[in-house]
Amino acid sequence: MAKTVLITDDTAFMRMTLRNVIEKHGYEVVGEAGDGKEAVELYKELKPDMVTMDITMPRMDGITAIKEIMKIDPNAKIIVCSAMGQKPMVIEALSAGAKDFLVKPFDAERVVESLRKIGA
Amino acid sequence: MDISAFKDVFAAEARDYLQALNNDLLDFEKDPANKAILDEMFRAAHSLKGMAGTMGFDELAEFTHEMESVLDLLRLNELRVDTHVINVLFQAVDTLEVLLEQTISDEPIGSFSNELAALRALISRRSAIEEESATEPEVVSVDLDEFSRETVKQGIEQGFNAYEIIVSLRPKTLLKSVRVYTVFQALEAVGTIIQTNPSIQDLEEEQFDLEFGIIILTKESPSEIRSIIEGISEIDGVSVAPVRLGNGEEIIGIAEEPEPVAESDEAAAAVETKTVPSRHHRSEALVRVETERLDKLINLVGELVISRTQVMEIADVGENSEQKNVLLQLDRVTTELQYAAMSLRMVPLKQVFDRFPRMVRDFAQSSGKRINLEIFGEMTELDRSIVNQIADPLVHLIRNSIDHGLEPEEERIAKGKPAAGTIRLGARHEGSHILIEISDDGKGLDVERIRSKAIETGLLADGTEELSMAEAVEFLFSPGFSTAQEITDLSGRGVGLDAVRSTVESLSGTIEMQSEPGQSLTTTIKLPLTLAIIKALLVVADGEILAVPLQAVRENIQVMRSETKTIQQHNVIMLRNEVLPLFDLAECLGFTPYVGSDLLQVIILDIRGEKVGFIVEDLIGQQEIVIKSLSGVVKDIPGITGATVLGNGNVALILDNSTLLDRR
Repeated sequence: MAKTVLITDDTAFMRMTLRNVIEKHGYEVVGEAGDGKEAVELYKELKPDMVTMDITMPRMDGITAIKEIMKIDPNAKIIVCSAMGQKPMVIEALSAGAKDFLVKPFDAERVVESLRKIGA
Repeated sequence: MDISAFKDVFAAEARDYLQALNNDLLDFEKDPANKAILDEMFRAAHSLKGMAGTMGFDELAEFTHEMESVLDLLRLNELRVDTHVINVLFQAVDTLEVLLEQTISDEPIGSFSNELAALRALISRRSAIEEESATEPEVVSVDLDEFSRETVKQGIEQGFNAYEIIVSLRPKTLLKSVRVYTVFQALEAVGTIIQTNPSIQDLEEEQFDLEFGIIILTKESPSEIRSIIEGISEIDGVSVAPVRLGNGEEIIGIAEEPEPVAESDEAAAAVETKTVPSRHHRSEALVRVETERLDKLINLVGELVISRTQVMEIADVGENSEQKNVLLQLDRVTTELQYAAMSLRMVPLKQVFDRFPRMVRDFAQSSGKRINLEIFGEMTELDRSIVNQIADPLVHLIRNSIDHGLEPEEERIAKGKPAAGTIRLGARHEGSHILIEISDDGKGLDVERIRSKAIETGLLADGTEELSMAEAVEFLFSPGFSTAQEITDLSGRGVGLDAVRSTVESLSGTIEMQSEPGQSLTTTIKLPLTLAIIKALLVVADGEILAVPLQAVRENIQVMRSETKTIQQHNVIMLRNEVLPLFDLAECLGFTPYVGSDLLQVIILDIRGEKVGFIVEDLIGQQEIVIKSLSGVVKDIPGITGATVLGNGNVALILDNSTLLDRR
C-alpha cells in the first residue's frame, strides 16, 4: 500500500506543485491543509504516514503545528518546508520534532529523497 | 560562594591574557596571514570574557565581547586586516588594561565609549568575503585538540567507542548548516559529539565546502552510525573510522558487538560534564603565590641567616667535633635555604622587556621612523624588586634612542645607513651582577652640542674648548641637563637622565654610556642580582657600626695623619701618585669626626666612578648582611640605604655610596 502524505501550505500553487511531485512517485496525497490549525485537525482525522509543513502560515504557523502534532503522535514524520532565509525557524522546527527539511523552490528529487528516507 | 576571593587570581590571569594579546597582536601585525595567532587571540579574548562575566565585571565582559567579535570576523575572513584594524585592536587591549585595573581596584570605571565605538564600527564593516577566499577543498580530518584527546581517553576508559566520522554533503545542498544540524541531532541521540572540523561555529556559518568531520563517543557500532547518517537527506557519503590517539601508536579498539546501552546516559553525562572549555593551553605547572607571602618567607629566611650567624658566634666549639659537625650542617642548610628562597624572588627580565616591542611599535608609528627592536637575554633573572623598578629607566632610555638617537629615514639613507634604525636591548650575567645594554645605531652623542649646552646652563666655565666623551656623558647625567631641541611626546618632559641614574643607583647599580659619534650609542646598566643579601665591609665611625656594600669598596689603607694634604681647602691623600679627595665618614653622616690616633684607617670607595677616601674609626671585617629597608621618617637619608641586624643582635646602618656626598 502506498504511503500517505498530508500537504500543508498556505498557497494553493505550492500545494499543487507538491501534490504533483509526490503522486508521481507513488505516494498517496490524502489531504491538503491551508494552515497549521487545519493541518492538526486533518492529522487527527487522516493519520497520514508523513506530513509536509510550511512554516509561515496564517492562523497557526508551521512550528506550532509541528509541536501540536508531536503531542498527538510522538512518532509523526514531518518534513518542514522553508525558504532560504528561515534558518533559525528550520532549526526550531527540527528541534520540535520535524524529521527533515526542504528548501523552496522545491527540487523534485529532493522531495522524493526526503519522503523515501523519512518514510523508511 | 563568595567570588571576590578569586579576584587576585582573576587579576593575575587576566593580566597574563592581556599581555598575551599584546604579544600576539605584534606577531599578527607582522604576519597577518597567520591563522594560528588569530585563533590564539580569539581564545584569549574569549577566555577573558568568560572570566570577567563570571566575576560579574560587566563592563570588562562587554568590551572583551566586542573585541572577540572583531577577532572572530578576522578569523572568518569576514573582515580584512589593515593598519586601522590593528590599531583599533591595540587600542582595545590598552583600554582593557585600564578597565581591568579600574575594575579590580574598585575604582570608578572611566568612559570607554570611543574605543567601544571603534570596535563596533569594525564589526559593522564586515565585508562579505568573496568565494575565492573561502576554504579551499581539502581532505577533511579532525585533529584532536588536547582537551578533546583527554575527553576521548576518558570516554574509552568508560567503555565508549570513539569514531571519526567524515560526512560529505551533496553538491548544491541548500541551508548546509541546517543539514549539519540534522546530522548532529541524529548523532546526539546515540552519542556525544566531542569535536568537529571545521568548528561548530564555522559549520553554523557555512564556512566549509561539502565535507565536515566529527569526533563522537558512542556505544553504537560503526555500521550503525553509518546507517543513521545515511538515513538523512542530502548526504553524499559518510565514513566512520576509529579515532587514533597520539601518533597512531594507540588505536582504539572497537567493540564489534555493541554492549548493552544500560548506563549510557549516565556515562554520557559524565563525559559531558568534562566538556567545560579547557583552560588555555599556556598553563604550566606553576603555582601562583601572593608576593606578600613570598616576601614574608624571604624575611624569615633573612632572620634565620642572622640567627645562624649569632649561634656560630656564641658557640665556641673548640675541639668538640660533634658540636662542630652539627653547626656546620646548620650552616650549610641555612645557606642553601637562603639561596632557594632568594631564587623565589628571581623573575626573568622578560616581564619588563615584553612591553617594549609594543612601545617601540607605537613610537615608530607616531614618529614615522622605521625601527627594528632586537631583544636578547630576556630570560636573564633578577630580583623581583629590581625588575619592577628598572622598567621606568629602560623606558626612558629607549625613548631617548627613538627620539634623539635614531635619525629620520631620509637622513639615515643620506648617511648610508639602513633605512630602518635598530635598537638592541639585551641582558646578560656578569659575576654576581647582570648587565642590561641598550644600544642604537643612531647619531650618537654630539659632544660639541653638549659642550655648548653645558656652558649655556652654567655647568661648564665659559670658554672651555675641549670636552672629553666621558665628561660629556657626565653632563648628560647631571640634573636639569637636557639637549632636546624641542619637547616631544616621547621624551624631554623635564625628567632627565639624572632621574635614570638615581633610580639605578638606588638599586645599587651603575650606569655608563659609550658613543661612537654619528654611529651608535650604548648605555650599560649594571645591577646586583639581588638586593636582599649583600656582602658588606663593617666599619666603625663615631662608635657606630656601619655596613659598606663590598662592591663599592676599592681597598682599605692606613695613612699617617701627617700624610694628608689640603688642596683648595679640601683634604686629599696621595695614593700611588693619584690625588684622592679625603673625607671623614662620621662627619659625612653628621656624626662627630674622628680625632683619634695619628694612624688613620681609610677606606677607598667608588663613588660615581671616582675614587674617594673616607677616614673611619676602625675596620671590623666582611660579612653577609640582610638588608632591611628603612621607612617613614628615617627613609631617604642621604648616605644611608637601609639597616641590618648583625650576628650579635646590634643594628648597623648600611651606607649608600652614591648619595654619601650629597649632603655636603
